[in-house]
Amino acid sequence: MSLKQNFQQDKNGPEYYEKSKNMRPNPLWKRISLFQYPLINLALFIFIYVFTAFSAEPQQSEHVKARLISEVKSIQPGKSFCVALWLKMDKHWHNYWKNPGDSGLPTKIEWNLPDGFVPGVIQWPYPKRFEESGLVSFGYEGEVFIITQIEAPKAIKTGTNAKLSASVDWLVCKESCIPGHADLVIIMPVKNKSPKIDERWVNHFKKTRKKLPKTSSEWKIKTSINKNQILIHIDPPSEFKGELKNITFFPEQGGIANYSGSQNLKRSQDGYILEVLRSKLSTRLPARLKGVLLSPEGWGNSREERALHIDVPLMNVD
Amino acid sequence: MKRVIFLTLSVLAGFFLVLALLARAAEAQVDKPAPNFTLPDTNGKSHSLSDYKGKIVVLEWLNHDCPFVKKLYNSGHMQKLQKTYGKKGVVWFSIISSAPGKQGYCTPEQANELIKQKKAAPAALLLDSDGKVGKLYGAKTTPHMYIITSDGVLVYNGAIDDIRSTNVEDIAKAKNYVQIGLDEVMAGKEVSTKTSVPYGCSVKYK
Repeated sequence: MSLKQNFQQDKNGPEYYEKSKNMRPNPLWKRISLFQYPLINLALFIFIYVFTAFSAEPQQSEHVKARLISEVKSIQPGKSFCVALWLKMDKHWHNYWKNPGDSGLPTKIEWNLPDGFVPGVIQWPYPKRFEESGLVSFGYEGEVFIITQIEAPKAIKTGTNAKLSASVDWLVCKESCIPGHADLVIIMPVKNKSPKIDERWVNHFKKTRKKLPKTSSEWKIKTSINKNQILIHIDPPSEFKGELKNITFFPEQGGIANYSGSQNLKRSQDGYILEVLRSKLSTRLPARLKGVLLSPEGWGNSREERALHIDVPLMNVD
Repeated sequence: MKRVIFLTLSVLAGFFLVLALLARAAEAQVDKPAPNFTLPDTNGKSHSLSDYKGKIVVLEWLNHDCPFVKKLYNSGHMQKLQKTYGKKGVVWFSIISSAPGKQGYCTPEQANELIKQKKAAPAALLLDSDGKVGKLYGAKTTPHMYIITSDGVLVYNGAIDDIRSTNVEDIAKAKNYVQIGLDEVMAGKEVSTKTSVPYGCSVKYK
């Protein structure tokens, strides 16, 4: 779906604007009211036709389309709602998770919201591991939907519009890397009623939420560290009937783990131990180990919840 | 016959064990002797680290097409560091480990042209197109920086500074680990930050 088509369909809901060096220009023709003059009209038509014919070609230097998407069609005073940053990349290009790994840069969102609006933390879906010539990075290929929850203040007038802006920076790579930037805007109506869901994005939000790491679970996680390894003890709850295989740990903090080293899952008395090779750069260790444990078979008895967020004390057993 | 096979196998096993231990010992680690290497520069002259005993040496991993490197060179910041510390007797080696055909790879002529164009001032630009020295030092990104004392001890391994970005404006706000480390080494002090997580583009190894 092209951005222009979306724009046209948004009459009743939020409006979207993107301003960026690397994207198609705003639909000029929508803002111009000179169509009553036939000659100017013709000149304009030719100009715009030529202009858009050239600019419709995606700019080869950039490889990313960026957009802000609201889950709901209006804002209700005092209520929270979710907005996603949608980054769509050309085939085989990727951008980065909060810990980019050996190289790269995490995507940065700087919100500029009306008074009283409070953005929450970025909700990062679990990443994919990319390896090239022995170097490893963590990120997203194809497209990524990065959700932020925003709290609207009680004291906003209904019947007005709220302008939500975000200044977004990313790095997109495919062997070589290109930094990108976009200033994105959504204008949303403030209404004194429960907002309607924007049907067009339901699946995107649903799919993305399945990739958000679970923050609470019955699993008992403990971590310790010795000279060469980080040991993650993973003890299942009694109701877990499955078997863990192929667990991957994505550390949130840089400089602790060696990303190219293999991670070995072993049986322990009460469950499992995941052995993760330490980084040579880890001279100073943090008090807690934070990251995501990924199980392709899921942490419940279904394959739905694959990622588990951990934030546990790190014990030195040396 | 069995004895011969057994003997051969144990000798082989021993050989590989020693080799593995040697390889491990040779890998770059802070507070340990920096592993020696020999690389040609852009004029065909060969440089060994061991030739520079008695001098402080900086290693800078380089790829001129990488946006993180561009930030430092387009702002003139890296050249300034090279000149400032070069005058103080520091031997600054820029090293390109990009493999032929990959981003950042340069023939000696192209590399000389780049030095001229960027007004770069390293003691030498070393070409490591098979990536052996890069891997020996565990160079992951461009830039990735190392400081070696005049006694040949590695005292810094990590990022150029503490703000991960490609934005020129961040240079002034950032804490430059290499600058701080070099000043400390020259003042005879212990380096306060010996490691940090390097950031940048991945080194384009073969």
